[in-house]
Amino acid sequence: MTRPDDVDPLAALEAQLRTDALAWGSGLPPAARQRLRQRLRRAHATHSRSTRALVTVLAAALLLALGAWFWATSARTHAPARSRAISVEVARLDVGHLGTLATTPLRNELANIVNDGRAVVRGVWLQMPSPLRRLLGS
Amino acid sequence: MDLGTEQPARDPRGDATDRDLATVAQRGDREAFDTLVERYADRLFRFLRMRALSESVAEDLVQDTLVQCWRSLARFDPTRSFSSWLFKLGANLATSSYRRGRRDPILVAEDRPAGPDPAAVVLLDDARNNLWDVVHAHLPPEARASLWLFYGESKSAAEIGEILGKSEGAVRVLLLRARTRLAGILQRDALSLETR
Repeated sequence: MTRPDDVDPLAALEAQLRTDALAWGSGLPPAARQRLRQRLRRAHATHSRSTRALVTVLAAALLLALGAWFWATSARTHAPARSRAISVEVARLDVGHLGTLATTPLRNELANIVNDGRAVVRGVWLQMPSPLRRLLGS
Repeated sequence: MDLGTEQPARDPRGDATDRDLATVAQRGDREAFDTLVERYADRLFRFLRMRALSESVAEDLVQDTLVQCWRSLARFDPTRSFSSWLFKLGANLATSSYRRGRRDPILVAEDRPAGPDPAAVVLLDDARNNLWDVVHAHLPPEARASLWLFYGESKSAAEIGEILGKSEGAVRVLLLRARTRLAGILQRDALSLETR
Protein backbone atom coordinates (compact mmCIF):
# COMPACT_ATOMS: atom_id res chain seq x y z
CA MET A 1 0.00 0.00 0.00
CA THR A 2 1.33 3.41 -0.87
CA ARG A 3 1.45 5.99 1.91
CA PRO A 4 0.81 9.64 1.02
CA ASP A 5 4.46 10.43 1.83
CA ASP A 6 5.63 7.95 -0.83
CA VAL A 7 3.78 9.71 -3.65
CA ASP A 8 6.09 11.69 -5.92
CA PRO A 9 4.68 15.24 -5.89
CA LEU A 10 5.73 15.87 -9.47
CA ALA A 11 4.11 12.64 -10.69
CA ALA A 12 0.97 13.58 -8.78
CA LEU A 13 1.03 17.02 -10.36
CA GLU A 14 1.40 15.51 -13.83
CA ALA A 15 -1.42 13.07 -13.20
CA GLN A 16 -3.67 15.88 -12.05
CA LEU A 17 -2.76 18.00 -15.08
CA ARG A 18 -3.74 15.14 -17.38
CA THR A 19 -6.99 14.47 -15.56
CA ASP A 20 -7.99 18.11 -15.23
CA ALA A 21 -7.22 18.81 -18.89
CA LEU A 22 -10.21 16.68 -19.85
CA ALA A 23 -12.55 18.95 -17.92
CA TRP A 24 -10.93 22.36 -18.32
CA GLY A 25 -12.55 25.08 -20.37
CA SER A 26 -15.66 25.09 -22.45
CA GLY A 27 -16.01 24.53 -26.15
CA LEU A 28 -16.35 27.32 -28.65
CA PRO A 29 -19.47 29.30 -27.65
CA PRO A 30 -22.46 28.90 -30.03
CA ALA A 31 -22.38 32.57 -31.07
CA ALA A 32 -18.69 32.31 -31.95
CA ARG A 33 -19.37 29.08 -33.82
CA GLN A 34 -22.08 30.83 -35.82
CA ARG A 35 -19.69 33.67 -36.70
CA LEU A 36 -17.07 31.11 -37.65
CA ARG A 37 -19.51 29.39 -40.03
CA GLN A 38 -20.33 32.74 -41.66
CA ARG A 39 -16.68 33.65 -42.08
CA LEU A 40 -15.88 30.24 -43.52
CA ARG A 41 -18.82 30.50 -45.92
CA ARG A 42 -17.44 33.84 -47.12
CA ALA A 43 -13.95 32.34 -47.37
CA HIS A 44 -15.33 29.41 -49.40
CA ALA A 45 -17.18 31.82 -51.69
CA THR A 46 -14.08 33.96 -52.13
CA HIS A 47 -12.09 30.84 -52.82
CA SER A 48 -14.63 29.70 -55.43
CA ARG A 49 -14.60 33.13 -57.05
CA SER A 50 -10.82 33.15 -57.04
CA THR A 51 -10.78 29.68 -58.55
CA ARG A 52 -13.27 30.71 -61.25
CA ALA A 53 -11.25 33.84 -62.00
CA LEU A 54 -8.08 31.79 -62.15
CA VAL A 55 -9.69 29.25 -64.48
CA THR A 56 -10.96 32.07 -66.71
CA VAL A 57 -7.55 33.70 -66.84
CA LEU A 58 -5.87 30.37 -67.55
CA ALA A 59 -8.39 29.58 -70.31
CA ALA A 60 -7.83 33.01 -71.87
CA ALA A 61 -4.07 32.55 -71.66
CA LEU A 62 -4.39 29.10 -73.23
CA LEU A 63 -6.49 30.50 -76.09
CA LEU A 64 -3.99 33.27 -76.64
CA ALA A 65 -1.13 30.80 -76.60
CA LEU A 66 -2.95 28.54 -79.08
CA GLY A 67 -3.71 31.49 -81.35
CA ALA A 68 -0.11 32.62 -81.22
CA TRP A 69 1.05 29.10 -81.96
CA PHE A 70 -1.25 28.76 -84.99
CA TRP A 71 -0.20 32.16 -86.24
CA ALA A 72 3.47 31.32 -85.84
CA THR A 73 3.00 27.95 -87.55
CA SER A 74 1.15 29.40 -90.55
CA ALA A 75 3.65 32.25 -90.87
CA ARG A 76 6.47 29.75 -90.84
CA THR A 77 4.72 27.74 -93.62
CA HIS A 78 4.23 30.66 -96.05
CA ALA A 79 7.18 32.86 -95.37
CA PRO A 80 9.86 30.44 -96.49
CA ALA A 81 8.05 29.82 -99.82
CA ARG A 82 8.01 33.52 -100.58
CA SER A 83 11.51 34.13 -99.49
CA ARG A 84 12.78 31.06 -101.38
CA ALA A 85 11.18 32.27 -104.63
CA ILE A 86 12.64 35.68 -104.16
CA SER A 87 16.05 34.35 -103.34
CA VAL A 88 16.00 31.99 -106.35
CA GLU A 89 15.03 34.86 -108.60
CA VAL A 90 17.71 37.04 -107.13
CA ALA A 91 20.23 34.24 -107.48
CA ARG A 92 19.21 33.68 -111.10
CA LEU A 93 19.57 37.36 -111.90
CA ASP A 94 22.90 37.43 -110.16
CA VAL A 95 24.16 34.38 -112.02
CA GLY A 96 22.97 35.82 -115.36
CA HIS A 97 24.62 39.11 -114.68
CA LEU A 98 27.81 37.48 -113.59
CA GLY A 99 27.75 35.23 -116.67
CA THR A 100 27.32 38.20 -118.96
CA LEU A 101 30.12 40.00 -117.26
CA ALA A 102 32.37 36.96 -117.44
CA THR A 103 31.74 36.04 -121.08
CA THR A 104 31.80 39.52 -122.60
CA PRO A 105 35.61 39.68 -123.02
CA LEU A 106 35.61 36.20 -124.46
CA ARG A 107 32.97 37.15 -126.95
CA ASN A 108 34.83 40.27 -127.85
CA GLU A 109 38.00 38.26 -128.29
CA LEU A 110 36.17 35.71 -130.38
CA ALA A 111 34.70 38.46 -132.56
CA ASN A 112 38.17 39.97 -132.99
CA ILE A 113 39.64 36.61 -133.91
CA VAL A 114 36.85 36.09 -136.45
CA ASN A 115 37.49 39.53 -137.92
CA ASP A 116 41.22 38.92 -138.00
CA GLY A 117 40.61 35.60 -139.72
CA ARG A 118 38.44 37.23 -142.30
CA ALA A 119 41.11 39.91 -142.83
CA VAL A 120 43.80 37.27 -143.20
CA VAL A 121 41.69 35.30 -145.64
CA ARG A 122 40.91 38.48 -147.64
CA GLY A 123 44.63 39.37 -147.70
CA VAL A 124 45.62 35.93 -148.90
CA TRP A 125 42.83 36.17 -151.49
CA LEU A 126 44.08 39.45 -152.75
CA GLN A 127 47.62 38.13 -152.95
CA MET A 128 46.59 35.37 -155.25
CA PRO A 129 47.13 35.87 -159.02
CA SER A 130 44.08 37.10 -160.89
CA PRO A 131 43.72 34.05 -163.19
CA LEU A 132 43.71 31.78 -160.13
CA ARG A 133 41.17 34.02 -158.29
CA ARG A 134 38.94 33.90 -161.37
CA LEU A 135 39.27 30.16 -161.56
CA LEU A 136 38.43 29.70 -157.82
CA GLY A 137 35.70 32.36 -157.89
CA SER A 138 33.84 30.66 -160.72
CA MET B 1 3.95 6.14 -22.04
CA ASP B 2 4.78 7.81 -25.27
CA LEU B 3 2.79 10.98 -25.41
CA GLY B 4 4.27 11.96 -28.72
CA THR B 5 2.70 9.37 -30.96
CA GLU B 6 -0.42 10.87 -32.38
CA GLN B 7 -3.26 8.47 -32.83
CA PRO B 8 -5.10 9.11 -36.08
CA ALA B 9 -8.16 11.10 -35.09
CA ARG B 10 -11.36 9.42 -36.20
CA ASP B 11 -14.47 11.19 -37.26
CA PRO B 12 -17.36 10.14 -35.04
CA ARG B 13 -19.52 10.21 -38.17
CA GLY B 14 -17.08 8.25 -40.28
CA ASP B 15 -13.75 6.54 -40.54
CA ALA B 16 -11.89 9.32 -42.29
CA THR B 17 -8.64 10.34 -40.61
CA ASP B 18 -7.50 13.94 -40.41
CA ARG B 19 -5.01 13.22 -43.14
CA ASP B 20 -7.68 11.80 -45.48
CA LEU B 21 -9.98 14.74 -44.84
CA ALA B 22 -7.19 17.28 -45.29
CA THR B 23 -6.12 15.65 -48.56
CA VAL B 24 -9.69 15.75 -49.88
CA ALA B 25 -10.16 19.31 -48.62
CA GLN B 26 -6.99 20.33 -50.44
CA ARG B 27 -8.84 19.55 -53.67
CA GLY B 28 -11.53 22.07 -52.66
CA ASP B 29 -13.97 19.74 -50.90
CA ARG B 30 -15.80 22.01 -48.47
CA GLU B 31 -17.60 19.17 -46.73
CA ALA B 32 -14.31 17.53 -45.78
CA PHE B 33 -13.02 20.83 -44.46
CA ASP B 34 -16.22 21.42 -42.49
CA THR B 35 -15.72 18.02 -40.84
CA LEU B 36 -12.21 19.06 -39.86
CA VAL B 37 -13.58 22.32 -38.48
CA GLU B 38 -16.17 20.45 -36.42
CA ARG B 39 -13.47 18.17 -35.16
CA TYR B 40 -10.98 20.86 -34.21
CA ALA B 41 -12.88 24.04 -33.35
CA ASP B 42 -13.22 23.19 -29.66
CA ARG B 43 -9.70 21.81 -29.28
CA LEU B 44 -8.25 24.84 -31.01
CA PHE B 45 -10.36 27.13 -28.87
CA ARG B 46 -9.14 25.50 -25.66
CA PHE B 47 -5.53 25.72 -26.81
CA LEU B 48 -5.87 29.37 -27.81
CA ARG B 49 -7.84 30.14 -24.68
CA MET B 50 -4.95 28.75 -22.67
CA ARG B 51 -2.52 30.74 -24.82
CA ALA B 52 -4.39 34.03 -25.03
CA LEU B 53 -6.08 34.39 -21.63
CA SER B 54 -9.01 36.41 -22.90
CA GLU B 55 -11.94 34.37 -24.16
CA SER B 56 -12.99 36.89 -26.79
CA VAL B 57 -9.43 37.02 -28.14
CA ALA B 58 -9.37 33.23 -28.30
CA GLU B 59 -12.68 33.23 -30.21
CA ASP B 60 -11.32 35.68 -32.76
CA LEU B 61 -8.12 33.70 -33.06
CA VAL B 62 -10.04 30.46 -33.70
CA GLN B 63 -11.86 32.13 -36.58
CA ASP B 64 -8.69 33.66 -37.99
CA THR B 65 -6.86 30.35 -37.70
CA LEU B 66 -9.51 28.27 -39.43
CA VAL B 67 -9.97 30.80 -42.23
CA GLN B 68 -6.20 30.93 -42.65
CA CYS B 69 -6.16 27.14 -42.61
CA TRP B 70 -8.67 27.01 -45.48
CA ARG B 71 -6.70 29.54 -47.50
CA SER B 72 -3.33 27.88 -47.01
CA LEU B 73 -4.51 24.28 -47.05
CA ALA B 74 -2.63 23.69 -50.30
CA ARG B 75 0.62 24.16 -48.37
CA PHE B 76 -0.21 21.43 -45.85
CA ASP B 77 2.02 18.39 -46.18
CA PRO B 78 -0.25 15.32 -45.75
CA THR B 79 2.65 13.27 -44.43
CA ARG B 80 2.73 15.50 -41.32
CA SER B 81 0.27 15.81 -38.46
CA PHE B 82 -2.71 17.99 -39.33
CA SER B 83 -3.38 18.94 -35.71
CA SER B 84 0.20 20.12 -35.22
CA TRP B 85 0.01 22.17 -38.39
CA LEU B 86 -3.28 23.72 -37.30
CA PHE B 87 -2.01 24.51 -33.80
CA LYS B 88 1.08 26.04 -35.32
CA LEU B 89 -1.08 28.33 -37.45
CA GLY B 90 -3.02 29.28 -34.33
CA ALA B 91 0.11 29.85 -32.25
CA ASN B 92 1.64 32.04 -34.97
CA LEU B 93 -1.52 34.12 -35.27
CA ALA B 94 -1.68 34.45 -31.48
CA THR B 95 1.93 35.60 -31.37
CA SER B 96 1.51 38.15 -34.14
CA SER B 97 -1.75 39.34 -32.60
CA TYR B 98 -0.01 39.83 -29.27
CA ARG B 99 2.91 41.60 -30.93
CA ARG B 100 0.58 43.95 -32.72
CA GLY B 101 -0.92 44.61 -29.31
CA ARG B 102 -4.30 45.25 -30.81
CA ARG B 103 -6.25 42.41 -29.33
CA ASP B 104 -4.56 40.69 -26.47
CA PRO B 105 -5.14 42.61 -23.27
CA ILE B 106 -2.13 43.23 -21.04
CA LEU B 107 -2.71 40.08 -19.09
CA VAL B 108 0.61 38.43 -19.68
CA ALA B 109 2.17 37.02 -16.54
CA GLU B 110 5.57 38.64 -17.15
CA ASP B 111 3.92 42.05 -17.36
CA ARG B 112 2.19 41.70 -14.04
CA PRO B 113 3.60 43.63 -11.10
CA ALA B 114 5.78 41.66 -8.71
CA GLY B 115 4.22 40.36 -5.53
CA PRO B 116 1.05 38.45 -4.86
CA ASP B 117 -1.83 39.39 -7.06
CA PRO B 118 -4.96 39.54 -4.88
CA ALA B 119 -7.11 38.36 -7.75
CA ALA B 120 -4.79 35.43 -8.38
CA VAL B 121 -4.88 34.44 -4.73
CA VAL B 122 -8.67 34.41 -4.82
CA LEU B 123 -8.54 32.41 -8.03
CA LEU B 124 -6.09 29.98 -6.46
CA ASP B 125 -8.48 29.40 -3.59
CA ASP B 126 -11.30 28.72 -5.98
CA ALA B 127 -9.21 26.75 -8.40
CA ARG B 128 -9.12 23.59 -6.42
CA ASN B 129 -11.61 22.19 -8.89
CA ASN B 130 -9.23 22.39 -11.82
CA LEU B 131 -5.47 22.81 -11.80
CA TRP B 132 -5.50 24.40 -15.24
CA ASP B 133 -7.15 27.48 -13.82
CA VAL B 134 -4.04 27.94 -11.70
CA VAL B 135 -1.85 27.40 -14.75
CA HIS B 136 -3.93 29.88 -16.70
CA ALA B 137 -3.76 32.52 -14.00
CA HIS B 138 -0.11 32.24 -12.99
CA LEU B 139 2.13 31.07 -15.81
CA PRO B 140 3.38 32.99 -18.84
CA PRO B 141 1.79 32.27 -22.26
CA GLU B 142 4.51 30.00 -23.65
CA ALA B 143 4.66 27.90 -20.52
CA ARG B 144 0.87 27.60 -20.52
CA ALA B 145 0.80 26.64 -24.19
CA SER B 146 3.58 24.05 -23.75
CA LEU B 147 1.92 22.47 -20.73
CA TRP B 148 -1.43 22.36 -22.49
CA LEU B 149 -0.02 20.78 -25.63
CA PHE B 150 1.87 18.22 -23.57
CA TYR B 151 -0.81 17.20 -21.09
CA GLY B 152 -3.99 18.33 -22.81
CA GLU B 153 -3.16 17.40 -26.40
CA SER B 154 -0.62 14.63 -25.71
CA LYS B 155 1.95 16.16 -28.03
CA SER B 156 5.61 15.23 -27.78
CA ALA B 157 8.28 17.80 -27.00
CA ALA B 158 9.39 17.65 -30.64
CA GLU B 159 5.86 18.38 -31.87
CA ILE B 160 5.45 21.21 -29.37
CA GLY B 161 8.73 22.61 -30.60
CA GLU B 162 7.43 22.49 -34.16
CA ILE B 163 4.22 24.25 -33.13
CA LEU B 164 5.87 26.95 -31.03
CA GLY B 165 8.96 27.38 -33.23
CA LYS B 166 11.41 26.08 -30.63
CA SER B 167 13.88 23.24 -30.39
CA GLU B 168 12.91 20.04 -28.64
CA GLY B 169 15.48 20.74 -25.92
CA ALA B 170 14.11 24.23 -25.34
CA VAL B 171 10.61 22.79 -24.96
CA ARG B 172 11.82 20.23 -22.42
CA VAL B 173 13.41 23.02 -20.39
CA LEU B 174 10.26 25.12 -20.72
CA LEU B 175 8.10 22.22 -19.49
CA LEU B 176 10.40 21.51 -16.58
CA ARG B 177 10.43 25.15 -15.49
CA ALA B 178 6.68 25.43 -15.88
CA ARG B 179 6.07 22.35 -13.74
CA THR B 180 8.54 23.55 -11.12
CA ARG B 181 6.94 26.97 -11.04
CA LEU B 182 3.49 25.47 -10.79
CA ALA B 183 4.57 23.16 -7.97
CA GLY B 184 6.06 26.17 -6.17
CA ILE B 185 2.83 28.14 -6.54
CA LEU B 186 0.80 25.25 -5.21
CA GLN B 187 3.19 24.78 -2.32
CA ARG B 188 3.03 28.48 -1.41
CA ASP B 189 -0.72 28.31 -1.68
CA ALA B 190 -0.87 25.31 0.63
CA LEU B 191 1.34 27.11 3.17
CA SER B 192 -0.73 30.28 3.00
CA LEU B 193 -3.89 28.26 3.55
CA GLU B 194 -2.31 26.57 6.57
CA THR B 195 -1.31 29.88 8.16
CA ARG B 196 -4.76 31.38 7.75
